[in-house]
Amino acid sequence: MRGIEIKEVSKGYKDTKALDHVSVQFEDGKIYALLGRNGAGKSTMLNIISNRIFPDQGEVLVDGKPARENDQVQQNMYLMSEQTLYPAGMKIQQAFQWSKEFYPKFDMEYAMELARMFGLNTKKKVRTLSTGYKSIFKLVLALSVNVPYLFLDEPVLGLDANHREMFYRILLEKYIEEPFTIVISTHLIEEVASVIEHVVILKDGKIVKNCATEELLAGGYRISGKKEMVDIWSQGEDVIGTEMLGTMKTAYVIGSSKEKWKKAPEELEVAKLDLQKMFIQMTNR
Amino acid sequence: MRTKKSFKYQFQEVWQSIGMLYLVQIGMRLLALLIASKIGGEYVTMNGMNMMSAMFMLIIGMCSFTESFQFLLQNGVSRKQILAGKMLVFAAGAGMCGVADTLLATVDQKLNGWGNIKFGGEILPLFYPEFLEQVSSVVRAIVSVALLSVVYALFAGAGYMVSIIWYRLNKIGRIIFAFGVPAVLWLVYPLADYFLFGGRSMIAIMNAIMKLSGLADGNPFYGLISGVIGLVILAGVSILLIRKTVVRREN
Repeated sequence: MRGIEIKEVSKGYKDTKALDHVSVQFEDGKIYALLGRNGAGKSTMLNIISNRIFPDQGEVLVDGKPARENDQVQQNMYLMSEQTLYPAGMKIQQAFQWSKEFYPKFDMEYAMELARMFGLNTKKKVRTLSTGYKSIFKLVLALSVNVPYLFLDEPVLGLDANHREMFYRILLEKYIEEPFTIVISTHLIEEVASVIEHVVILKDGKIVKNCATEELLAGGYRISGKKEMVDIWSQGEDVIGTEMLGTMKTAYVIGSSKEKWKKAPEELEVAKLDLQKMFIQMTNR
Repeated sequence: MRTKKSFKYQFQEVWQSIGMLYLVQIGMRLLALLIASKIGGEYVTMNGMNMMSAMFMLIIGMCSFTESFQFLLQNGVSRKQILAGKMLVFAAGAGMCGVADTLLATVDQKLNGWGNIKFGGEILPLFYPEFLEQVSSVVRAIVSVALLSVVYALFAGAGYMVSIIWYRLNKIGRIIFAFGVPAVLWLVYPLADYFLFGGRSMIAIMNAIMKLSGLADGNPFYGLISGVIGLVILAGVSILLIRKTVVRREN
């Protein structure tokens, strides 16, 4: 089986359960968003997959092989994390050269071109980079390693709007040229919504949603109107959140039928739910 | 394949430092010669160069874990390959230092007496003088390289093991470790030994060290064998420590 399989993985830190019997599959050649509030377990999951930390229970399989302490498996994946694990005194150019050693398909020319596009000075040392340029440095590496499984944990942290747009465009171009598995963990849901094919939402260490983006968005609606009318029309629907303002009520539903809302009365305001709003309602405490 | 790359990366951090060490050692010898040529009277002595190399290897071991561990994990290298690469680095580095120190000791012997200079403090003549009288210079050189390499590798390995322990400890653990280890070694244990065993356990340990190192019999081969066994033990402990080590959040 090609892809990554996370099987019943649990991980705790002192009195916090970061992941609680999580099972999910990341299929070959798809772009995933791994969403969740702060502390939901996203980084923990990615760190477990990439062998940086170990689960308390469960296992991770990559193309059917255990990922834990497996060099063959690990050289087919790359995690760009919030932490910078490159030596502070290392020059950017040196980091590229060493990446070429460990990832034979690392494209040095492409990396230098990306560095030029992003304005990254490759003669600088890692310690001298700003937060944004540290992210850019790590992004350039991640986009140049050419591995089948790429994990991006908060890839646009500290990036300005121009650089963020450039990153998404480059990522899509790479993906279209030759599809590979990408898992993006981010808080900037609106920005990433147009790029991703599949959404995995974590809440309190558990998966609360795992489906295709299109499917999730297709059935998501915001219904506003008088409380009684909203209650009637949202009966039988999967209501993920509600808000009250005087006698007016707003309900957020998912998995709903488009045909039903075509017949809704004029007094009821029906709008499509975007991914960010959907996420907020699903993960509100 | 990954072991080779792990070794290549970790060695590039070390070989330059070794080069610097021997530049310093050569510089110190030249300075000693200059001083000796300028002043008269009693001998100008210079010793402790082997200890300098040993301390250097200890520091190399202690300073070489965190950065390379994190960098190599980032690049998909497993912990066992990280450790395998590191062991090869220590073997190569210790070997280089063993050869360099043996060569420099030969030069020191030739220079002894020149301008009142007196070089000394090398391990082989200091601890195994009878052995040296019985063997040829070639055997002496081979044993010197082997013994020094093993000693330096032990220091490096011990430093590395300490650095892994340190990395894995939390703040409180580090405080306990930093104060606790010297306190136990130099205060608690000597006192306990004195009051409970009348000092006999320390004597027994010293006798064992003398026997295992070949000092009691003047035979460096015992020291070599014990050193190699010590390396295997250090490697085993390091394997047990590193296999459960994870990337720390604050690093």
